[in-house]
Amino acid sequence: MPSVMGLFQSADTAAAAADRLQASGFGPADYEVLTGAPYPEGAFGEDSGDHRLFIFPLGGAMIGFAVGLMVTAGTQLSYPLVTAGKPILGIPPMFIIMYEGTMLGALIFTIMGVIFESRLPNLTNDLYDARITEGYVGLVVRCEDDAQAETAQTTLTEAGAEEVKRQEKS
Amino acid sequence: MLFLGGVAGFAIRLGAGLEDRGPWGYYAAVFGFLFTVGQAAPMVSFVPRLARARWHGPLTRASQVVAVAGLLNVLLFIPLLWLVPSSAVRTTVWFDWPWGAPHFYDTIFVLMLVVNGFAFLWVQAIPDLAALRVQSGGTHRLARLLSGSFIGTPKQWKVQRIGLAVLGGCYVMNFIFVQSLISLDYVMTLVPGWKSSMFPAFYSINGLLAATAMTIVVMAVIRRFYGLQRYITVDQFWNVAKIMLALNLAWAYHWWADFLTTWYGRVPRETVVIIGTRSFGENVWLFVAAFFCCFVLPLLILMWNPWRKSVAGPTVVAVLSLIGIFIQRIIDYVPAYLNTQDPLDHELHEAIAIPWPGLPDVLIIVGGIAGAVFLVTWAVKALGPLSNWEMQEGVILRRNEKFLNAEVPYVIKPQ
Amino acid sequence: MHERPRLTPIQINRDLLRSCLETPLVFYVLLLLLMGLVGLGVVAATLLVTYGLGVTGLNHPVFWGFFIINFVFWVGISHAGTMISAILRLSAAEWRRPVVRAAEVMTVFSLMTAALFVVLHTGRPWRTLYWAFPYDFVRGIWPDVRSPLVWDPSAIFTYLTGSILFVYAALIPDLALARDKTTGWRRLVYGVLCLGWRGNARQWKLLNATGLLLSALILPVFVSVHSIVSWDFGMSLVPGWHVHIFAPYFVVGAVLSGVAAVIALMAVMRSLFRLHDYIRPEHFDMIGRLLIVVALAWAYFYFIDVIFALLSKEEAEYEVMKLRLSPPYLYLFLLMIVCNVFLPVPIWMFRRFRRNIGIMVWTAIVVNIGMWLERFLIIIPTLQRRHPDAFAWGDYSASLVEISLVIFSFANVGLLLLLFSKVFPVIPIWEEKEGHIWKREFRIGKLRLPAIVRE
Repeated sequence: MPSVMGLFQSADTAAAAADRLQASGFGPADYEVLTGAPYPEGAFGEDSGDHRLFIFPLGGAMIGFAVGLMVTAGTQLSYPLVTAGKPILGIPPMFIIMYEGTMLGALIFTIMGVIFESRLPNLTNDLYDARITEGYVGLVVRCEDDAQAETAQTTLTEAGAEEVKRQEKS
Repeated sequence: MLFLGGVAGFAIRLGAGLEDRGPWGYYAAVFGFLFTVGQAAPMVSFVPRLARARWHGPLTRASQVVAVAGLLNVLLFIPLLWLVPSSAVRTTVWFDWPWGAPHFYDTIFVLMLVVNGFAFLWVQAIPDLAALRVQSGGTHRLARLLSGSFIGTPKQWKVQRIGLAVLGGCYVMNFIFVQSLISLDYVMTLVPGWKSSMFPAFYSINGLLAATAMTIVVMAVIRRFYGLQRYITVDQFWNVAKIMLALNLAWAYHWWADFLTTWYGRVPRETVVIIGTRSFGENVWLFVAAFFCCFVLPLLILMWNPWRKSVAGPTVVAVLSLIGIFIQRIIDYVPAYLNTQDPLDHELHEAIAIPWPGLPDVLIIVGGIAGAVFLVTWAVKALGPLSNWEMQEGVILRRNEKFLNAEVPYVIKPQ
Repeated sequence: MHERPRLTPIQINRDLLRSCLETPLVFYVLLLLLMGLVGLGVVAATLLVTYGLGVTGLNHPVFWGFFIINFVFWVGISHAGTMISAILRLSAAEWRRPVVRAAEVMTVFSLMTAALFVVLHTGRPWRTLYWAFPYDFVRGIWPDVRSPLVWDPSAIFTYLTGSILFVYAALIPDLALARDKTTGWRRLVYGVLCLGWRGNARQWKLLNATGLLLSALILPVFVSVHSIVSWDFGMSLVPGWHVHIFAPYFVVGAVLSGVAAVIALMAVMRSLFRLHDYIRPEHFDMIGRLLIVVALAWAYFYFIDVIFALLSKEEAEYEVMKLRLSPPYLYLFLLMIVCNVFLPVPIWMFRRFRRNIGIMVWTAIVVNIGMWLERFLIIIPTLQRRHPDAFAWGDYSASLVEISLVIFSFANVGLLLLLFSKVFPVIPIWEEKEGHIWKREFRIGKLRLPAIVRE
């Protein structure tokens, strides 16, 4: 499946080009917008898909809580030594460690979540251009076949792309 | 009507005499609750104004109008003055100043706060009152009286803006101070051996939580009653809900810090008050109810953005929080007033159980709350449910604009 | 954002990557200076490890001295990062942009330095692991979770991990940028670190969501860390330490010192890397406003602390507070109050002073002197009067080793920050660009007012 990238100098022309792409039969999920900084969602009419990022911290929190419980209760039960007249399984101090465990789990899983949901690490050699970090906007269109790639190429060129690249990939 | 019932209850209590402090506990709790709720709400309008967030337009009136209940608070406060023994027979914050402490000073500070609240409300409402004056052709006497010669010159706007900032800032500081003072003077020093420096801070946190909760409730009622769905939007509820959630967490945090220090220290003197009386022991169910209403349920509900970003979610949580704070006030005041030991004693010997309220207490509770609601309703009617000029300012400073293919909200930030 | 000049992405790239790509002479001078001071600390630490705690001024009954004061101080400084980046991110404050990364990185490095001091304080650093981490399965003896000294490492570990992840997540797009702007082995390193970031809409959306999520998650940790540090004191029955208010009071104090430290850091960055277009007087202005609130809150808590000690009419408590409030500690006490509230708050009240960077830096330094003294006053006088019997009272004076290690701590954080700035951009470049993209000017009457997209 070939893919085509158009590089635009300004966001305005890129947005107009995205409109043209949609007019010539591409769906909002068929093209990828590459920018050097975040734009408000939907600025290019793109569809960036749903994500389940919020599930991750919950899962992490549960795991962290369980580990916290194991560390606190398990270690104390395996060597029960009363200190300072406190019960072996005193809830308040155990709670503190469990709390930290919960938060640690949630934090780590959030990062894992964002990396997973952003499809990173990205080892493919997809179309990219270093100028994107200089304010250019890249529109990468994933095409079904060569004919579509041709359409995409002409559409992007007509829309005022500075440069259009094409990559053939299986 | 209910308010009259409350007056009757008050009369019965008065008939029983002021000598015995115990039965007045519930009365004091009502005062504590109303004082917290009534005086705290105006702050909600101040904080977002400080952050220049521009979503607070529709809620300022809702929050500030609650300050009118302060009038009732002053009335309620008078009998309490007689009830509390002078500093001669107990520890006090007044360093044994002889002249009128605590009665005289507390009265001054309470009055100061109430006046400050009224002033805040008034300055905020001047432009609207002026509009009312003009609209009514000068026949509206109250508006004419209160709006003076405000016609909206740039200078007047500037003065009004500075006035709001100064009054708001003063109000927040005043509030924390008075709440801490009242909590110390009227609750803590009545219980022997109760020494928790967390208490004034916890009391004030309750106040801040009450403020946001009350604002949400008033907003929801106004929205429903006046059909203002187009003006008071989910946006306001969503934003205040975030603050409320933070305060729910802060509530739990302050309680936890207090509890943990006591639990870990195992000093009998502290344990009997903070764990025995206030958290577990005799009054465990009251505490559990407060804990669930102020922390557990709010956290479980507001954690989810779809619920946070609705009208019903924050309103439910607000009502829950208010109930929780009321219970917390009962826990604060009633045992303190029931204490029969000498407050100068080194420690409390037995935890104090909270009895069920008697008929007069119920009457007082219902009457007091009804009285406050009545005052607030009246004020809403007099001043209008929304702050007109801030709504218009909001229309100017917050707008939806096109950004490429998306439509996004812009917030304009003047210097 | 009122004074933000219009800059193109190319200019932003060039200005903000400069610290990584160019090395001015000042850098070497600073590097040498800081390395010298760190070397001094290494010598002191070697002495300490070789000869034991005898080289310090610690003695009965004052066993917590400069090390622990410094520990609390640096944990306090570490609270700036989260305060600035998490709270300001959640409240969508526009002025956070140039400050967040430096503050977060300072969090990481000061937390590391703080942890180092606890380890040094034990005198036999290699044994600390036993009581902090449950790892020695052979002995079957575990750390005592009932001890606050075990809560501490768990909290600090969580906070440190969270902060590093926080910094890293926000660093990914800038690493991708650095990858595009460098060649050779550097390109490879940046390329690996940025995980092949492309900057598509989905990635940006997730990055923003993560920023908010991490902020919300790290805030409770942030509160817990300094609370737990305070409970190292509060859980004991030592008069003057067994104070219920300690947790929130320590947190507020930490925020005060940390945010003040951010001011100094910003000023240094601004002049060192010539970031005048990015770190502007308005940022100092906003931080000044924030600090007024924090300083007043600190004063409130401190007032409660003092008044309760005086009110309680308990001899032990009273004695400790009396010592704190009588010479020579009285002078330190007064200096602390002046440094933390009476001097800076009136200065911050005035817009003109808030926008004067020199004055702001001085207030920042003054506040941090005050906060260091505050920890000193909590720890030292209390321990001197720890025991009820007068014959068990004692004195404390810090030795040269302790003083050099305190100096070392400052140099260490400075050195780490300097090295960080050599490798990574100190201002989040993508956030700066975002600020440019998301802003627009509106005309109202004759005024042109800036506006920002708010999601």
